[in-house]
Amino acid sequence: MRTLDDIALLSPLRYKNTTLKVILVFIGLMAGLFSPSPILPLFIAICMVAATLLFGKIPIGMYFKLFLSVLSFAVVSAFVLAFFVHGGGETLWSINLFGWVISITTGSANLALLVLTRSASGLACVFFLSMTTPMLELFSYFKRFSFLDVFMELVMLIYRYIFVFLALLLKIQSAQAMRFGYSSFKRSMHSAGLLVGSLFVQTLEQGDRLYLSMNSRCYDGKLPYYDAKYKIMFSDALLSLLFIASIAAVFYYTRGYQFF
Amino acid sequence: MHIMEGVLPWEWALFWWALTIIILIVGIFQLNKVVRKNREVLPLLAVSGAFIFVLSSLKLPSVFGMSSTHPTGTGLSTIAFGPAITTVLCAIVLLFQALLLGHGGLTTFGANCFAMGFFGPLLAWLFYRAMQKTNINIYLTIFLAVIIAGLASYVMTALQLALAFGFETLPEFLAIFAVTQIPISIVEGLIIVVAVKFIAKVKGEFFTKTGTLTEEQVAKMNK
Repeated sequence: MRTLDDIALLSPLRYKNTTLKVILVFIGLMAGLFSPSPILPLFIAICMVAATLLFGKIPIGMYFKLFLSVLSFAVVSAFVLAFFVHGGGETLWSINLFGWVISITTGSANLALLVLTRSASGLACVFFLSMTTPMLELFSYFKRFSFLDVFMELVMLIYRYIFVFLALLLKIQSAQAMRFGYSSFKRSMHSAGLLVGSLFVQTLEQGDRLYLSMNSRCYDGKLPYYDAKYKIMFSDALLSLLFIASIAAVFYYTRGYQFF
Repeated sequence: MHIMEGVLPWEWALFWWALTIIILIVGIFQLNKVVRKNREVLPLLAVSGAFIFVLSSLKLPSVFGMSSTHPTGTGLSTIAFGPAITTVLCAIVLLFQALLLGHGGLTTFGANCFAMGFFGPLLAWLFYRAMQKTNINIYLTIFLAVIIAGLASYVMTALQLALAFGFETLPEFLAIFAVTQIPISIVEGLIIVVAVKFIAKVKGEFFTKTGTLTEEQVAKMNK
């Protein structure tokens, strides 16, 4: 997780306009979601992965390790859908397990494939955003809406403290493991309980310390953040328009297409 | 166990988003009011949100030889801070899980937030508040409240999936969740009980201040 943020900070796409990136990802997510055929989500996934890897200069091995590990959950749910949803249509395959018939029909297979490609396209869009935009820049973007002001400050502070507490958690956990804290089931339950408890106490104390340090830096209920603004280049706008136009074209020509 | 990005069809994604936005607007209004009145709350809420995230990334000892499991992390926050604040914090945590880890997603954020941030904590809190004043063993109450927070979230998630893919699939989804999630919830409940005991010993005044435990209960725990 630490590395994901580092990658975003190092990516050349970081210096592109945040609004443009948010709009592109939003369109990609929505188009993938509304598509009735698996072709369009597949197309969006390929475009987004290519953009992240080529323009964002993300290490390929790391990207696919993360992408595939998350996508494996989607594969499992696709299998569940293929077997359990009674989608109608012809039966493609069936098995009789002790009198319990499980079957895959064309309807359920199409549904499973659609859900799988939809997950892949959504995931590719989200990774494009989080691997090319540092979180703090993304949040200061949303801070412009004054209703979300306090909420976004909370988001930024939480983001900071996640790393502090993760480091603390790992330290306590390895200290416990070194003292045989996880040697048996009963003992590991006890250790995990103490770990959570002391983490919570640390959390409260850290909250007090944070308030003190914010107060001594003139905190008056508002946290000012540097809001980086990048201009939209002509080439970026052109490429984005091309992407949106091709999404529309693929949607129009493949909307009725199904694999099974 | 979150609903993955893109799993829900758009009608249901939109429906749960709409529902969650209403809940979140109420929650954010409350947050704005609380922070304006009492600005030292913001840092405390911030570290609590980070706590929920870290807890949900904690690898628990496995029960039936499963590789590793992780808790929902909302149980302790619910009994300490109440459901309204837990919902807002949980929304932020789910946002981070979607963006940083790819767990859950942006299109399914509404559904996940409703099940894990609102429905589970609300039921657990109602149960805890009702039981806390009775004479029933406080450890048992905490244990059951944490289990309810976890299981209610998963039942809701199964229901959301079943609503989206045909109601006849509900038993299948429930069975899948039951097999994987009941042991996790029990382990989480046991751990939170040990944690509450520890916190009552070190910082008992926090629980009496928030009304989570009465002074007699803290004193009894420390005996």
